[in-house]
Amino acid sequence: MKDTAKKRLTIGLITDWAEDPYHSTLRTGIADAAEKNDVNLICFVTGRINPDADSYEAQQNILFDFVNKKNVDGLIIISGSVGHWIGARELNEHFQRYKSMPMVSIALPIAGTSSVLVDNVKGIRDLLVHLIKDHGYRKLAFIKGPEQNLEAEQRFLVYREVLEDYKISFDPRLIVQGDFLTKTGAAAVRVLLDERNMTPEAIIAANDEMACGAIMELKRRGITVPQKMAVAGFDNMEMDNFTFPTLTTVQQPLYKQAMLSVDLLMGQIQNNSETQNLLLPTELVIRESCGCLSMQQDKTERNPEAPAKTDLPGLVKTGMDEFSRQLLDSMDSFIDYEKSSIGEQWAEILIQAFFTDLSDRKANRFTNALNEIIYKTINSMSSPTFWHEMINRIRSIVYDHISDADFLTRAENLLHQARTMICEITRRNEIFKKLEMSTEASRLRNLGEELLERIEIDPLLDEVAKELPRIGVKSSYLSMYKNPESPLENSKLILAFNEDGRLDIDLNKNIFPSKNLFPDSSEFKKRRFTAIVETLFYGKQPLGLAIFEMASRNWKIYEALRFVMINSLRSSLLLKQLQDQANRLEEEVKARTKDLTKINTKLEREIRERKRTEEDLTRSNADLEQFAYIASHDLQEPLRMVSSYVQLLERRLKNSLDKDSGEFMDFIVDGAKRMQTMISDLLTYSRVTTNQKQFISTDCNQLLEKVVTNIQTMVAETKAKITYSCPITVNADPSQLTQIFQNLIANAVKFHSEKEPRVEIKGEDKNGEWIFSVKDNGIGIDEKFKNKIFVMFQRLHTRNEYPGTGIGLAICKKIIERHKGRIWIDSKPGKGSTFYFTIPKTQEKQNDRLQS
Amino acid sequence: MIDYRADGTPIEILLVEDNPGDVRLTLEALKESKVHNNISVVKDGEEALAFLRQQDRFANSPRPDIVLLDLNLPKLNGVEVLTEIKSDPNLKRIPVVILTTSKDEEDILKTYNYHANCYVTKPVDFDKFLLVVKSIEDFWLNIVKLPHK
Repeated sequence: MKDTAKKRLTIGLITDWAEDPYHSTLRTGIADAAEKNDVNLICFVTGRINPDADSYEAQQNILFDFVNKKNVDGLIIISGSVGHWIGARELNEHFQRYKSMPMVSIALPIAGTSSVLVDNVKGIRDLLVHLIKDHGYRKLAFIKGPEQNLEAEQRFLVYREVLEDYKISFDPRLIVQGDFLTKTGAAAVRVLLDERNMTPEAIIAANDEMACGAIMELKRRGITVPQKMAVAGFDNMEMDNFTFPTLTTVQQPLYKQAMLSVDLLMGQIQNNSETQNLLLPTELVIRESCGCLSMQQDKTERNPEAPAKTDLPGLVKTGMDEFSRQLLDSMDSFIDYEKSSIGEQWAEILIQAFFTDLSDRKANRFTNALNEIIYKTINSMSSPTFWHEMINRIRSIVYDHISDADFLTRAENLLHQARTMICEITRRNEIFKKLEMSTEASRLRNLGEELLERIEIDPLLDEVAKELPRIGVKSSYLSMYKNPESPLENSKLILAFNEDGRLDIDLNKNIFPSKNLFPDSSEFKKRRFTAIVETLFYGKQPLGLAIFEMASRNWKIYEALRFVMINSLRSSLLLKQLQDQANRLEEEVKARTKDLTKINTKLEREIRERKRTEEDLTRSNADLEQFAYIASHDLQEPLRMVSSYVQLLERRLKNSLDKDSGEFMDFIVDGAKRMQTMISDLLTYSRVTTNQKQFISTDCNQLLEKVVTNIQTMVAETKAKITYSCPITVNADPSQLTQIFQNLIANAVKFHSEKEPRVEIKGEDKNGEWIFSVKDNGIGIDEKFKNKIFVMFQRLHTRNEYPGTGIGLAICKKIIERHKGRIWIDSKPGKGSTFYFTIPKTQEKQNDRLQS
Repeated sequence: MIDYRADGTPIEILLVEDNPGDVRLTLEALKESKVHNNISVVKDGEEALAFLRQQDRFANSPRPDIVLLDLNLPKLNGVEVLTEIKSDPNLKRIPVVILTTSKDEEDILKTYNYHANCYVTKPVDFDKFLLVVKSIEDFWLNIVKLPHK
């Protein structure tokens, strides 16, 4: 913002958002001065420096990082409040960060910056002197402010000085530590009266809030103020007029302090003025709590410097100008308070009217003029103190100049009328303010309710845009930090509205550097504005920034707004978070489901393919078996031709053939015969499945008896001993089972060693299946051939050693597979073999689809 | 050659066989037979039935004393021919010997269900084929090889 010629200047205000009149008055003064100077004002509600880490102020402190040269040209710091928790050294250190910027500190000095301070010394000295000199109090209790607060410390030092001046001994038992809060005032009374058994004549509190707390506690105990104990405070706050009794206090020229701080800052920004440290006098405001009845205070003691008394004509003669100047002078510490709205002519107009009324009983000019002036200022008037004080001053002047009893009575009457009128206006104004406040409160409450009803973020923002202008927010920008972990990087604008309603957010331009506070496109750039920057957060999670353009000077609503916003946003964000989570979950589920579906589809496809393959396989198996059957069947035909005709030839040429030809013919016949055997075996093998029969209940012992009979010849030849024990009945194809036993036993006998063959057959129920064993004492086989022997036409021996095609075990295996069983061999060469096979107990109904 | 018939006429044999090799082989085997025979040969099932029923060109055919029927025949197969023969009151008394290359017991049973009188597997070994022919002679002497089981 260097181009000051083109761009309006912006000043920043660093403040704690205390809602007390002290801050309100200062903020109003600064806002008024900014308006007068045609500069923007941005209030950074930073909270107090170095708060308890768990408090919300710790979150507000983040705003210190958002103050920079990009968004403000100079800074005003209400150092008395933001420096509440820290000492002078820390305060200086803290504000070093802005040292390149023009700065003005209010209330506390900061090294290297201008300051507008209040002369605490004069005000509190006047107060103490009043209590000691005018009321004769000697036992003065003092409630201190926060330990590290410079102003509080200063006030206490003055207390000790004054005691010394008046030779009153300092009694530490009369000193109680407070922290500027109402409750510590009450607590101090308990400490003094109960714990320390002290009965002070007067209690002086380092600020008004504690003084009020003390008055309430005393009243609770039946100790009347000021009759039994006087109380005085410091600050002069609005409520002081409404305590019972009204509070005697020291007035700080807050509004003036605020105006001057802006003037100083503008000088530094625009003219590079030197830093200055201004000290403003404080003023004693005497009311009831000290023992004076200020309203009816009879100024018995005459001003020694006042001119000799004259009668009214003489008074008028001394000149209006001088009289009004006197009034203006005496009201000096109040004067800037309303200056901007009523002009400097007010005193002259008022005095003129007063004198007219004194000489003309029926004129009624004074009250009319006063009425007019008060109404002109009513909206910006935060305290009726001014007018009451003014009446007191006029009265003093009148008493100083007029001795005529008649005129005095008339003057007294006029002033009384004025007081009554002021009281009435004040009362009405208070009622109006209360009404206004309650209206605002109810609007806020409504807003809160409306917002609570809208938990979805977008309708919530709609509502905010609609409702906020009604409670004094002209326009607003709400933005969320893009990355809450580093709020200073970028922010995303989520809401912008003005009096016309919600503004469309250009999604391409809604991201901006957080430090700029609002996007460049903001309307703020087009007109002068006064705005408040509040941080939004929940828990320790920073959320974003809210910027409210203030239309109302009722500062309370902005803080309330922040809470409403935070609460609503928080629930919305929580909801959003939940929704996001739910969405994420749903998406995850969707993704998983998709994966699953994909897998399922794949599986289904695979299953389909496998099924098809299986069917194809089954079909091709069936085809193959059919083919094998037919082929072997048909193969026999030509084979028979070959061998038959060779034999026929041999027969016919028996005598004319030479030896070789005969042998050749034998080879032809032998080959054809072997081939026929193999074809025949192949046929048998294929028939295992092509000609299968239903499984039926089969008695194994009976079956074996038949088998042994079938191979009787062979048994007899080899002198084999066959024993069997199969007392079981199995579900099987009996003819095939017969074939298995026949093959196995035949093998057992065939492959015998020198010993007499012994074959032992067993069948039993074992582990839920029928297990059969055919044990022999034959030649056995080597481990490595255990699987080979079940392969079709696999032979381990030459035909000369052991005849056969090598189909027997292959057929056994195929039959057993058809019965869903297993077959294996346990053997040691030379020691014999045991063939095992199983048949499951529960045979599924066989599918006979393969039956041709 | 022994003549079993009192009137000395040869045994009329009908061979139903489409395979010329088998026809010739059967003829050769029968040549060596002691039984005086007269063989007629037809090549398929239809011709076989026409021959038996003396229809068309077979009007003057002799009524066979025995039929040697191959199972694998064109047009009507052996089983069908057998069924026809055994359901024809005029023919059903003619003994039928089934000649086949298949040892399939199922085939045998099927054939017997249709009242075949005999079942003979054509062997690869010609010597064995001679035994078959011999068994036909035996059949004629009422020794019939019945399927086992």
